[in-house]
Amino acid sequence: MSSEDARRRWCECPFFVLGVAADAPRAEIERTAQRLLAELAVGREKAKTYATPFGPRERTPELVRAAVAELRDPDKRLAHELWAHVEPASSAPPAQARWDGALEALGLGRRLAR
Amino acid sequence: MPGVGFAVLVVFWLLARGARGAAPQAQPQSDVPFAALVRILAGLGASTMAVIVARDGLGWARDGAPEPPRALMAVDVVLWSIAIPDLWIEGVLVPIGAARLSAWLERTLAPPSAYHERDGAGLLVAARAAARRPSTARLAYARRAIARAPQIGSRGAAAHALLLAVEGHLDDARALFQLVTDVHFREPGTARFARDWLAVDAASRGDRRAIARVARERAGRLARLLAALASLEAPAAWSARARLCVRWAFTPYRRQTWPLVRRTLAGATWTAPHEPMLSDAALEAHRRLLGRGPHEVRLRDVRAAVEAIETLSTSAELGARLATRALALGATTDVERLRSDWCRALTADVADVVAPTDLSLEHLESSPTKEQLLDAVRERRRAALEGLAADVRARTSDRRDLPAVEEWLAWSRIARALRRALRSASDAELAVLHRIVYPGVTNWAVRLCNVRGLRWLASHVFATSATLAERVHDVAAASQLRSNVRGCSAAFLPRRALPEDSTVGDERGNRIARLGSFLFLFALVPLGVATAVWLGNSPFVPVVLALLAVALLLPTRVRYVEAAVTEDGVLIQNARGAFFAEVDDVTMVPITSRATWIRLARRPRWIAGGTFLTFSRAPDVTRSALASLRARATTPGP
Repeated sequence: MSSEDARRRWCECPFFVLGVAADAPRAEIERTAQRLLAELAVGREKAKTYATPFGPRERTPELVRAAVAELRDPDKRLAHELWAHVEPASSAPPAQARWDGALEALGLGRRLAR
Repeated sequence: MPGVGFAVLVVFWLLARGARGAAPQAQPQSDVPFAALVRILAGLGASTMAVIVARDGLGWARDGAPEPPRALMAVDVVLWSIAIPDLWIEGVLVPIGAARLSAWLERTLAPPSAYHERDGAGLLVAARAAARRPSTARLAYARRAIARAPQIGSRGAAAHALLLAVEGHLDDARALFQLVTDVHFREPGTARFARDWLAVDAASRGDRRAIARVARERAGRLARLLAALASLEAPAAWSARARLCVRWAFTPYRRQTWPLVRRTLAGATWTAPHEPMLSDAALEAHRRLLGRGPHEVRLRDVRAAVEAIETLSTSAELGARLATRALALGATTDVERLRSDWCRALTADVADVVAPTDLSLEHLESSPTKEQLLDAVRERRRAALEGLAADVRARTSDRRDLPAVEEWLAWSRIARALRRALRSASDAELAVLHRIVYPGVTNWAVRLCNVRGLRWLASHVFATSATLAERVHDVAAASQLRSNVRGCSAAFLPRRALPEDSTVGDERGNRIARLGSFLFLFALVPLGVATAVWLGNSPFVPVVLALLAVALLLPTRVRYVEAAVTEDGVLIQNARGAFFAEVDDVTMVPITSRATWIRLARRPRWIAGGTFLTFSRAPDVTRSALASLRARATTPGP
């Protein structure tokens, strides 16, 4: 498994998908899931993404249904709570100071990739 | 004017030669630095004309003598361009992206290569021009040229790496450029270019350590400038700032690097900004580590993540919190087991991040988590190496070859995987790695050398494998691999020993000059003599005559081919490689009792022509060989 898989698995933590706190009551989780499904059905922009530790990700109805199903099982919810104790970031972690576009500036690569 | 005629002849000959070489295909090349000779002659002609023009010009200015002929001045400029082609290639053609023209000029006039990879110079220049102004057509041309190159050495590999970078495959480009800096048979200029590229790449990631590491060895001026920029602490002393300015003034890419220099002089440093910690320190450390790309991971991040996992695995507070939550939720899970599984998952995540990097974990503080992490990293790195080695093993056994540049890329990946595996390997693990590499990967290298003629690449494989064999005290393997390295390290390919049952073998081989080259140089004689007479008592006369003498002697070495007839066919070998032509592909015609024409129906590209004249000191043996070949060719198979 690559680090990308690890990031994706963490980002798909049900608490992040639903945007609820790790200690949220079960009723709140159900209500939030129903609201998100309704908003996604009408295409509300705000509902289409959710915050994760690695920046915003796309939220889909399938993810929401899977998340709420996971949290209905107490044992699985307890395991997911372990991963939820970090503040989601609205964007990627700050990058180090660097010479952005150095390869492009010097004609040494990565121009066609854009 | 014999001098002008001489210069024009040089130019026309070059143009005719270039017309043949314009298409990106394998060109037969001489084994002597013929281009160097042309450049020396052009330089001599240009110098002579410059002296004449200066003399006439002075006379014209001082005494009112006739003005020096403008045609002479024009030819002088052309000759200087031939003598120092970099003026055009580096100054004009590469910056404007003239890939085809710059490649042709470089291929035609490249300085002699110690490793017979003159095509590589053209490839690298074409790739650089294509990268400076990338377009589909230019990149396609560069790709085609690389694919058709008869031999890929360090310059061809660097060209391929640059194209990979342009296409966005930076990981592969890094690995290949790293290999170019490591490989034994490298052109110094190519290694410098590779180091410059690696330094720029590191600068684009803000990796100061990588820049310093790259610039420590014999790096180019660009890498050294970047290292100076990255190491400058604010506020810098005026002497350091002055040194930086001087260094910048003598570095290429001045326009592009000036904003960086100005920013540094203004007090900016490349120190990474501090990242604020969020709520949960342990998970935050983990998040920061996972958020790094493979080339941005630092040991301090790994240390923080490992310490966090170690804390989580022993924290009484976490245990109590989990027990409380389990009770509140009605969960039946064993909370200690849950915590243990979670910590194992976190450790696996860290291993996934660390395994594809060059980090060594030996400096981490000892802890159970560190041991788990080391095991996981070892396993991943070994699996990565095993996967790559299995691929080349399978290809060797199936005799499936890749294009030469892809073989370079394959080894660069294996070398990188091996380097990483060695960084985390225990003593017991070393033997496992040795068994993965030897003989599977080294057999592939044997094929690379013997069948593909990629001896530069094979040499690096053998040398790397030999070092590993020595570390595990496998004396027999180390001895064999070192012997292979020596075999590849000769300036010329190790000639195969002539078979004992060879019926025709001439120790001297055959010296066959390329007719065009020979006639060209032969035509220089009257022109050179006429020039010498015209120059009168000039001090250049002895130089002209000496160069002519050298020029007439050299063509005898232009084509050196050795042919040995055996019962199975003819072994043809020259300085670039050995090729065994089977009976069905050989036609032999006796000319005299000692001389025989040999014609090959099929041949590799690096054997120019296909018709060879062999001489034997033993006519009886020749006749016997011919009879044997005829009989074999006419006898139906089983």
